[in-house]
Amino acid sequence: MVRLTARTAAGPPGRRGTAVLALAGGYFLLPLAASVVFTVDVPGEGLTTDAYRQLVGADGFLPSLLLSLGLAAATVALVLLLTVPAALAVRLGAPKLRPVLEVVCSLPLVVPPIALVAGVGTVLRWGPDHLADTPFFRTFAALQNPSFPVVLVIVYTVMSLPFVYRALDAGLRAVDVRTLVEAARSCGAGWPRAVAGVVLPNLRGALLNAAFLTLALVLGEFTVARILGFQPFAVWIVNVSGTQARLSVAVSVISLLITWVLLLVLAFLGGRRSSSRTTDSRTTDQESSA
Amino acid sequence: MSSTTLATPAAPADAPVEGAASVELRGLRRAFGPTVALDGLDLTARPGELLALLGPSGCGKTTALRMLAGFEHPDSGQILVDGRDITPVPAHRRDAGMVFQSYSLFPHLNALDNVAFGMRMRKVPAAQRRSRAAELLELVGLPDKGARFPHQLSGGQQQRIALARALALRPRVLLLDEPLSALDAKVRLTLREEIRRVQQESGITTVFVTHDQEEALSMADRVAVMRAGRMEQCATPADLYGRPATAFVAEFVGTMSRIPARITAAGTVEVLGRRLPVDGEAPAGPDVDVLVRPEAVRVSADAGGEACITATAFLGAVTRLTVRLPDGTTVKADVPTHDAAALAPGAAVALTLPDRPVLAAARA
Ligand SMILES: Nc1ncnc2c1ncn2[C@@H]1O[C@H](COP(=O)(O)OP(=O)(O)O)[C@@H](O)[C@H]1O
Ligand SMILES: [Mg+2]
Repeated sequence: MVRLTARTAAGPPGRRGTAVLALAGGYFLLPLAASVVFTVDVPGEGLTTDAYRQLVGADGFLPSLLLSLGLAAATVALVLLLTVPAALAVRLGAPKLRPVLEVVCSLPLVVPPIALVAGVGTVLRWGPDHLADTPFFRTFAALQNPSFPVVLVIVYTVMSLPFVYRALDAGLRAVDVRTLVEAARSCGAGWPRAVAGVVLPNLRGALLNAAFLTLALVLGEFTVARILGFQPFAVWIVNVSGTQARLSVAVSVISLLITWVLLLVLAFLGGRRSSSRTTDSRTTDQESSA
Repeated sequence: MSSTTLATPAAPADAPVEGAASVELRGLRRAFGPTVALDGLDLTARPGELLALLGPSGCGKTTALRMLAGFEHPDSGQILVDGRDITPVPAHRRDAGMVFQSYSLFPHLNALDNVAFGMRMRKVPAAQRRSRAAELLELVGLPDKGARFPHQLSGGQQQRIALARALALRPRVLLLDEPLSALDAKVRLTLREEIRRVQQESGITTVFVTHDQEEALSMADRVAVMRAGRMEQCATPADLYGRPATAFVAEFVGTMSRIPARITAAGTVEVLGRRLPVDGEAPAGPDVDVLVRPEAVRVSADAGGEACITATAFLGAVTRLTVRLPDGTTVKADVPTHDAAALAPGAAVALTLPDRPVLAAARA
C-alpha cells in the first residue's frame, strides 16, 4: 500500500500539470540562466569565470559570509529557545493565552524594519548616557561589537518571530501534544523527558521549517544591518558590487547558491527520517493491515 | 443493545490475585470553574478485578480516571492504592499504565519502540527491553508488527500496541479511557475480548471507563455507574441488571420501560390490572411508574386488548415490539421470533407482567 501511494505520488503529472510546471520553471529558471550566462560570457573574451574569481577574492567575502551564518545560527537558537517553551506552555497549561501569544508574535509583521531600526538606534544612543555610572556601562558596547553584533541577533529574533511562531503552530496542530505528554508521563517519563523525548521529535519538521525561514531572513536582511553600520553578507554584497554590473549579478547568483545549499542541507536533515521509515515498512510489509 | 446476552465473567471476582493492588477513591471532588466534574466520588476496585466505570457522557468518568493516573488533582478527597495515599505522587511515579481514548502512540517511534519507551525511561538494559517488548507484542497478538510506525497501523492495532505499552512497566493499576470508542463495531467486539483476556492473564487491577453499557456489562467483574460526578451503584453486572438500586441505574443499564401504576397499599402497586409487590423501597405514591425489562413483559394477541403494536424490530432470536398503551405510554417487549408472526404493527394485544416483585420509581 505504501508502495502504491508512493508510485502514484511520484508518477508522471498530467498534461496540464506539465504545462504549469514548465511555465513556473521557466519563470524562475530563465532569468537565472540569463544571469549566469551574463556573468560568464564576456563579449569578445569568450567564457570566463573572472567575475566569480574576483568576487571570492574580494576583501571581506569570507568574514561577511561567516558573520551572516553566525548571526543566523544565533538567531535560530535564540528564537527557538523563546518560542518553543512559550508555545508548549500555552498548549499544555493555558490555552486561553494562545491568542495573546499569537498577537505578540505577529506584531513584528506590522512594524516595518525601518521603524524598528530607528527605535533600536535611539535606544543604543540613549543607553550609554544612562548606564555610564553603573556596572552595565559596557553592555551597549558589547551589544554593538562589530565582529559579532549581538544587537542584530536581538533584532532578527524579533523580526523572525511571526514566521517561527506560524511554523511551530502548524506543527503543534498536527500532533496531540497533551495526550502525547500524558502518555509519556504514564510511561514513567518526567516533564523534561516527556518534552525532549516525545514532543520535540514530533515537532522536528516544524522546527526545521522555523530554522529554514529564520535562516533565509537573516541571510537576506539588509536594512537593519546597513543602518546600524554592520557588514554581514547582504550589506557586503551591495558594497562590493556597486558599480560593476557583471560583478553584481555574479554576487546574486552566488548568494542564491549559498542559500540553496543551506536549505538543501536542512531539508536533508529533515528528510532522512521519513525515508528510513518507508524502508522499514517495505521490509515488513508482508500483508496489508487489517 | 442486546442486553439479554449477559456474559458472566470467567474469573472468580472475589478471589484476590496474588500481588494485585486495591484502589480506592475517597470523596473526590473537582470543579472546573462552574462545572462540577466530581462531586464526592467514592469508588473501590478490588485486587485483580476489572472495574468498569459507566455513565453518560460528561458525568466525570475521564476526570476520575485522570486523577487516578495523576494528570488531574482533586480539590479534595484521597486516592489510595493498597491503602497508601498517592494523591501527592506525580503521574510518572504512579505506577499506573494508561490507554487513552484518542490514538496516543508516539508517531516518531515504531511499535516496538513505543512499547519499550517506558523501559527506556526506567533505564532497563536494551536487550532486556527488546525481549520484553517482543513478548508484549505477542501478548496483544501483533508479534510481526514491531517495525511498523503508528501511521501504518489500523486503529484497532494502535490500541493493542497502546495496551502493550501500558503494560510494559508491569504497573499496579491499568487505566483504560474508552479505548474502543474510536473503533468500528466489529473491531470493538474482538478487542473487547482481547482486553479482557490480557487483563485476566496479567491479573492486574483495571479500571475501564466507558459510556457503553453493553461493553461494561460484558467485560467487567463489577460495574460502577456514575451520574453527575457521584457514584450511583457499584455491583456485578448481573446485580446491576437484575436489581438496580435507583431508577437512573435501571434506565441506564439495559432497556427499561416505564408503565404508569398506583400504590394501593404499603408495598403494593396496581399495574396493568394486577397487584404486585414492590421490590425494595416504594416511592411516595400514589401515582408511580413501574420499571420493566423488555424480556419480562408478556405479549399476547388479543383482539379485545387495549394495547396496540406500533413497531417491531428483528433482533435475531427475539423480536422487540414497541407497544402503545391506551394512555399513550410506550412499552418495549421481547418475544421469541418464532412467536412474533401474529404480532405485526397495528395488531391489538394484551400485556401481562409475571408474578414477581417489580421496581417502582416516582412518576417521571
Ligand atoms: N480541563 C477541563 N476544563 C474544563 N472543564 C472540564 C475539563 N475537564 C472536564 N471538564 C468538564 O467536566 C465534566 C466531566 O468531564 P469528563 O470527566 O470528561 O466526563 P466523561 O469522561 O464522563 O464524559 C464535563 O462537564 C466537562 O466539560
Ligand atoms: Mg470521557
